[in-house]
Amino acid sequence: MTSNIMLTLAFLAGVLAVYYLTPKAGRQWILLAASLLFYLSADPRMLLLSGGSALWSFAAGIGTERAGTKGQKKAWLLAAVLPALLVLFVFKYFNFFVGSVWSLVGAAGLSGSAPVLSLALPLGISYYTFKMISYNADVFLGKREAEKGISGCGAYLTYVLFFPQIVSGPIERSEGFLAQLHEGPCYDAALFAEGMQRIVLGLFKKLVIANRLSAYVDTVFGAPESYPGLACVMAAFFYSFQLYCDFSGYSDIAVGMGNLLGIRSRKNFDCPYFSRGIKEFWSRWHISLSSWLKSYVYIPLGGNRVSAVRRCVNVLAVFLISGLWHGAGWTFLIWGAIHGVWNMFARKKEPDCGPVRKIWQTLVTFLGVTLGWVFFRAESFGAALTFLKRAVTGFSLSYLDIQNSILPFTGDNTCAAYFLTACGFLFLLFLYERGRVYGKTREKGEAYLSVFWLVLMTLSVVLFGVFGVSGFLYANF
Amino acid sequence: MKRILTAVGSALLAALLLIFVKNEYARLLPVSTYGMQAAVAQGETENLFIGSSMFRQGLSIDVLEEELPGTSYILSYNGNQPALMAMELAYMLEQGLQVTNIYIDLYPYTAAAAPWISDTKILLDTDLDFKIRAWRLMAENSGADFSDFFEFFVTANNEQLLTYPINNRLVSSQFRNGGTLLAQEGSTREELYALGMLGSRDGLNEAQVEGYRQLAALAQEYGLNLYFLETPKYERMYADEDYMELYELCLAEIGDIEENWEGKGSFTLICAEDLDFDSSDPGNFQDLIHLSAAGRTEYTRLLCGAVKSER
Repeated sequence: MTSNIMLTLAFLAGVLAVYYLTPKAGRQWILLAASLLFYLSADPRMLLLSGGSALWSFAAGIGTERAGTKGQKKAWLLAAVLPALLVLFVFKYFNFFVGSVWSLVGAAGLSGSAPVLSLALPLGISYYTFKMISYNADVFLGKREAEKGISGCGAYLTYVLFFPQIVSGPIERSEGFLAQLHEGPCYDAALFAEGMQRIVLGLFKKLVIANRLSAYVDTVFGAPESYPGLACVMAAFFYSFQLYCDFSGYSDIAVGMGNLLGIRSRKNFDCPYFSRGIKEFWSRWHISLSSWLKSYVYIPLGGNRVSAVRRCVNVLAVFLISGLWHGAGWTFLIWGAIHGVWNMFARKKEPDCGPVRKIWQTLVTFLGVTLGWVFFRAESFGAALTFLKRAVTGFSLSYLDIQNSILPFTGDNTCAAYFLTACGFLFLLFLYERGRVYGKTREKGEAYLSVFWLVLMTLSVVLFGVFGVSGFLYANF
Repeated sequence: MKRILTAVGSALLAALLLIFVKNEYARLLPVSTYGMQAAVAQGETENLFIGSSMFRQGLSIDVLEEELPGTSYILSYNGNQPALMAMELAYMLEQGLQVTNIYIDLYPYTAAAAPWISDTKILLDTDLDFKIRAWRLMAENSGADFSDFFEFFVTANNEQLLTYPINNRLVSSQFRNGGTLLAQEGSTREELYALGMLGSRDGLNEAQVEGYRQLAALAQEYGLNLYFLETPKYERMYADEDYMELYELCLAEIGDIEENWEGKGSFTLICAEDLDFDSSDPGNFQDLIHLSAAGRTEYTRLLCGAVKSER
C-alpha cells in the first residue's frame, strides 16, 4: 500500500467515510487506528519499534517537563534523543560507517571483512525520528507543553505515525498538528476542496511527469558511456524535474490527504526552481527539513551570532547532516558539501534587479542545483564523475546524437512522442508554477484559472498517468 | 467545494469521451506509411506480408517491389503473434483490402507465447470492435488484469496522438509500404555469441496454433495464395535445442494445416534452410534473430526467387 499511491488514496477514502461519521472527539482515535493499520500493512514487525520509539519519546517529554533542574531536563532530552538517533544509526548508517572505516583499515594494509547488518529500513524512520526529536527539543526549550494522559499519548502517536506523512514526510512540527488534533478536526468545505486540488496537483506531478521521466533517467544514469553526451545532459535535467515532481508531488498528496481529514499542514515546496539564489532555493525546497535543520542544528550551534569562520563551519555542518539524512553514502555527503560551500558564500537575499538578470540568476541557480543532483543520483562518486565526463566530452548536437539521446525514452519508434509529451507537460508545469510565483490575477480570475488547471491536470492524470512505476524516491531516505 | 467537484467531474467525463473517440476514431487520422490503416488505404496489394519485427527487419521493400510482380506491402508489428495476425488479416479484408498473395511470418517464439498485443500501434490502427475482441482474447488466455485493461483502452498511444503532427511525420519517414528504410549494420561473431539466448517455452500456445488455422481459413475463404515464411536466424539459434523444438512443432502444425488445405490458391512453406542464405555470416545479422540491412537485401532476393519458382 505504501508504494502504491492509488491504493493509499483508496485507503484514505475508506478512512474518510468512517472518520466523518465518528463524533469529533473520537476522530483522533480513528486517525490513530488508520495510521497503525497503514503501518501494519507495510511493515508489521517494525511497528513495534516505531510505536515503541514514539511511546518512549512521549514518556521522555513528560519527564523533561517534570524535571526540576536544567541538568535533569537535559538528561531527559538526551534520554529521548540519543536512543532515537541510535536506532536511526543502526538501521540506516551502521553499514556505511563500518564499511568506510574498514576501507580505511584496508588502505592501511590490514585485512578483514566489515561486519554487515542485514536490516530492512523501518518505514519512515528518517521522518518520524526527526519529528520526535523536534517534539522533545521543543518541550526542553519550553516552546510547548508535553503531551499527557491517554488522549495526549494517542494524539502523539498519531502525530508520529500519521499515515499520509509517514512515507515521505513532510516533517510536520508538533505544535500545529497536535493543537488541531486536540481541538477535534472538523469538516471544512474550503479546506476539503483545497485538499482535493492539492491531491490532483500531486498526482499530476508524480504520475504524469516524475514516472514518465524515471525510465529515461534510470537508463542513462545506469550506463552513461553507452549514450551520447547530450543524453547525459538531458538525463541530468530530467532527473532534476523527476526528483522535484516525485517528492513535491508526494508532499502535495500528503498535505492534501491531511486537508481532507480536516488537518492543515505547511507547504513543503514552493516552486524551488524559480529561486534566484541557493539560499532562496533552500527556503523553497523541502521546507520542513530545512526549517528543522535551522531550528534544531544551525541555531543551537550559534547560528549567525558567531564569527564568520564559525558561521561557515555551522553552515557546512548543517548541509553535511542534510546530505547524510538523505542517505548513507559518500555521494550524499558530497552533495551536502557542495550545497554547504555554495551557501557559505551566497548572499542572504538577491537584490532586486531587472527581468533579464533575474532570469539569468534563476538559470544559474538551477544549473548549479542540477549539477549537485548528479552526485545525489549517482551510485558512487566515481560514477558521478564518469557521468559528468561523458556529458562534457561526448557532447555534440549531430542528428545521430539527438536521435540516440531521445531513444532511451522507450527504445523504439515511439520515443519521439514520449520525449515531446514529457517536454510538453514540463512546460505546462512551468506555466502553472510561473503563475503562482509571478501571477497577478484578480480574485475572480484566480478562481477560473484554478478550475482550468484542475480540469487540465485531472484529464492529464487519467489519460497520461504512468501508473506502472511504484514507490517514491524520497521514501528511500 | 461544489466548483471543485464539478471541475473534477467534468474532467472525468471529458476523459471518458476522449477515450471513446480515441478507441473508435483514431484510426481515421491521415494514414502513415506503415500499419494496417495504411494498407487498407491502398485498396489493393498483390503481396501482403504479415508478421513481427522478423518481417520488418527481414524483408526489403525495395527488393520486393523490384522482384515480385504487382505491389507489395509489409505489415509488421513488434512481437506480432499468429492469433493477432489472423485478426488483423480478417480486419483488413473486411475493410475491403484486395489481396492476391499472403505471406505469414513463421516465428516459433510468437507461436509459443500467450496471446498479447505487444505493439500498441495495432490499437491505433483499429476500431473499438477489434480492440474488444483482442482484449477478450488476451483476457481469456493470458490473465490480463485491470491495469492492462486501463493501459489497453485508456493510456495506450496517447503520446503518439498528442504529438501526432510531428511524431507521425518523423516515424512515417522511416517506412515505405510498411518496409523499413533504416539501414542497420551487421554484427561481429563475438557480439552475436555474447548475446543471451531466448530461453525455453512450454510448447506452442493453443490460441496461436488456432491463429495459424484461422489464417489458412481466411486464405481459403478469399481464394488467396498462402505462404508461410521463416526468416533466417543466426546459426546459434539453429544449434539451440529449445528453439529447434519449437521450430519442429511449428512445422508439424503447418504440415497439418497443409494436409487439410482446400483453398483455390496455393499453399507454400519456405524456411530459411530452403534458401541458399548464409546463416553463419554475422554481417547478415543485427542480433540473433533480426537481419541487418545487407542480410535483409540478400534474403529478400533469395525469397523472391523461391516464390517465383514456386509459381
